[in-house]
Amino acid sequence: MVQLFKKALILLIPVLLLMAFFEYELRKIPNLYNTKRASLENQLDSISVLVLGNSQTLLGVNPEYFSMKGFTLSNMSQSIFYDKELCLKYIDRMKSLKCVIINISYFSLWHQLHDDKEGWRDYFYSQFWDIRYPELKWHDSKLYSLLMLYTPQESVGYAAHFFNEDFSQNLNRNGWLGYDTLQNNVFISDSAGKERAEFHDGLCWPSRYDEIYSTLETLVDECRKQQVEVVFITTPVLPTYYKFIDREIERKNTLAINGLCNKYSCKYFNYFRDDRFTEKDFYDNDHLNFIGAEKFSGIINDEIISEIKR
Amino acid sequence: MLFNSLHFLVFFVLVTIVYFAIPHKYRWFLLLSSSCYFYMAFIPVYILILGFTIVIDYFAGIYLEKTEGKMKKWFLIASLIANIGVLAIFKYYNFLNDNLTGILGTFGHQNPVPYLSIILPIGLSFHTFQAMSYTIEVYRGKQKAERNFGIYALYVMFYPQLVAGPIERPQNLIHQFYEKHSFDYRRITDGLKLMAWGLFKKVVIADRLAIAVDTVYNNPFQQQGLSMVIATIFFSFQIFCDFSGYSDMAIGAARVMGFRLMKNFDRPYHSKSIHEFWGRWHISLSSWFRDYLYISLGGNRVTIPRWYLNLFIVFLISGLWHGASWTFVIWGALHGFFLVFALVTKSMREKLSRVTRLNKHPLLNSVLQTLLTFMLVTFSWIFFRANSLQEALYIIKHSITDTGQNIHDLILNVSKGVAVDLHLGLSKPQMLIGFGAIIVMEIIHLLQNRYRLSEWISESPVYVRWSIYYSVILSIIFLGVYENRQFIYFQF
Repeated sequence: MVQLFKKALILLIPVLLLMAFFEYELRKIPNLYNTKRASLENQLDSISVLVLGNSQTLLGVNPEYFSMKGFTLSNMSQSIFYDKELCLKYIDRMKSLKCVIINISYFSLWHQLHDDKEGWRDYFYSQFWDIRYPELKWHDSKLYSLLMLYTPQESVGYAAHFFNEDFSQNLNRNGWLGYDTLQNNVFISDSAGKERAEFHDGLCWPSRYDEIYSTLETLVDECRKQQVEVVFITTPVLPTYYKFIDREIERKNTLAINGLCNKYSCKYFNYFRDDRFTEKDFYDNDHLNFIGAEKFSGIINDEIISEIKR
Repeated sequence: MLFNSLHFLVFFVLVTIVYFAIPHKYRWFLLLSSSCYFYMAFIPVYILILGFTIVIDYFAGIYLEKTEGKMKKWFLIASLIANIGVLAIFKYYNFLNDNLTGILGTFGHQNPVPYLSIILPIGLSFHTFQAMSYTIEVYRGKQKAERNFGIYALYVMFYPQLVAGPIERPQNLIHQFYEKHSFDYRRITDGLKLMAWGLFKKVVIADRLAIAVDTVYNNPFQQQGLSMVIATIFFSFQIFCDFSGYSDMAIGAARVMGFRLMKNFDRPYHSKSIHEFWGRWHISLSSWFRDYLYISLGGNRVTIPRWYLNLFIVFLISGLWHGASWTFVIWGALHGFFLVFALVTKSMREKLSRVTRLNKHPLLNSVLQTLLTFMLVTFSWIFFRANSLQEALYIIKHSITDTGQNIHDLILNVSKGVAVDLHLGLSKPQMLIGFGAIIVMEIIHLLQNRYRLSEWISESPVYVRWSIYYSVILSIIFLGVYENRQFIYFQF
């Protein structure tokens, strides 16, 4: 048996070294997770307003337009589970934090990232934020290996470019992702909006509601215990999107958030059907572009942050 | 637990080390408990179903041996009913109910029978057939009833072949659990090589081709005929690499611990007839049907029409074994038809071969026969893979009517330098890797036909041997597709 182990080891050492080299190089590639973490940890002390949420706030809220130092911890498809984990991971170290703005999308209270096709992002949270979603299996190689997470084919492709990749382009120091999206309003139409609403309906799992609500309540409770204001927002969308959504889900969302607001003295600003936003402010039916982000961030500053400042 | 997972890697290494570290008398218990763990990694509660049939068949075996005459027959029938009953409930209930709904619907009635909301236990058809093989062999007096309940349970549950075969016979497997397997360096490395080869076929070929196959077959109405033809050919290789890859890993894992499992695949796409194909494809299942169904129906020792009917029945049931859907039934029926047609036209085909002088050119003759067999098998896979009968017919129709035009357009575009996209979901490098791996595999198959490849590798100089090892290992790691795709045959 010893002979077998010895030979296996000799055989595998070069393979393991090669894999280790890939892991090392892949870890150095900037992405939305490690870049954002580095940015956040560099300015923890000075952040006063923290924005949480998914792509709607990642693209649509630019803290640059806040009159207080802000940072958006939002990310693509980020669920409330990660909003909570990220916020509570750092809240003790954010000495200047006064307000947490939580985005509540149409599907937020019904959606775990793990359930949808974007579930691969769970592993990025695990690898780069050290936050492991409890339903991930310990034996999933993507938890330990970036080679498996990026997939071997992609990794070989990156190697062909000497790992000279950057997946965090346009990510600002304050966590906002600025897309130059003026050309992209081709995505805005009734049919695309309907398709998007249907896609979001598919993300809504009624069986998840209770646990997500409870997660959100824990987040709010912890923030309030630390004397941090909690404000809920719902970002603006176009009629091409909101006319296709399920009104019952929307009603339940409003009811739930109003209930939390009453219990924890929070405020809810619902911009879902805000007619100050027109097509030129949008990247697609439910995401603002950089023009809309400037406008929306200004509104947040005027209507929410100015109030907190007082 | 999938063979192509980190979970299995950890499990296999640990179980194997402990297996050789503990005394022989405890090994069966280690294998049984690890097999239970292996099975429970899928849906834990389903082990109760397996436990139920194991208990029934264990006692059935003992009583079958003790009794004679009519009573003996009744014990066998009771055991078969229990096994087939479980299969019927979990696999065929909703299918039968679907058909009942359809029939009642045509007469304007609603179906009052409720549907069951259950997931098919993994590998149910495999271990059910293996268990049935035991009781039938005991009934026939060819196998002694196993008194040690743990060993019998291990016969059904032995983890390498629990969920997708090879479907073993009690005469081949049970006695091996009593044999002491020592640590044999050569045997272990042979087993590991076979496992690596199986893994290569699964992750480098099958799972890569699956991307194209799924792209086309999950949305056939958006596809062009040529893409359908390519996806269907890809599926032929996907299913072979997927299933034979699993079998290689199963046989290899068992061999590492000293167990000899039966061969399940023998280069089936090199067959020159459908009859030969079934002697090389999923051998453990086709021999099961031959031994327990075909011969019981009378085999070929009956009138010619009855013989043809027997063949057709066996393939119809084989289709149904694969899945509770009309597409599988048609797939089985097609193979039955091919076989019967080949028998009916045998003399005519021989005459044609003489007239065209093909019989004077054996190589050309055999290439043509192999190609024709591959085409027939590939055609039948359309029904196997399509999500519904309607989609299968659509794919056949458009493969026939559109492909010529598509090829013409393709050549035209290529000659004009226009970029061509067949919408197969695979990039050019991915396609090249897929094609390259298939070619490597087929070259290896051709070499296997002439040489004892495993021995040749073992006896080669170290630089040749290790170059081969590194090529396989690095291909698995860097060219493999890792999307946690289940093995196709797990669903059966």
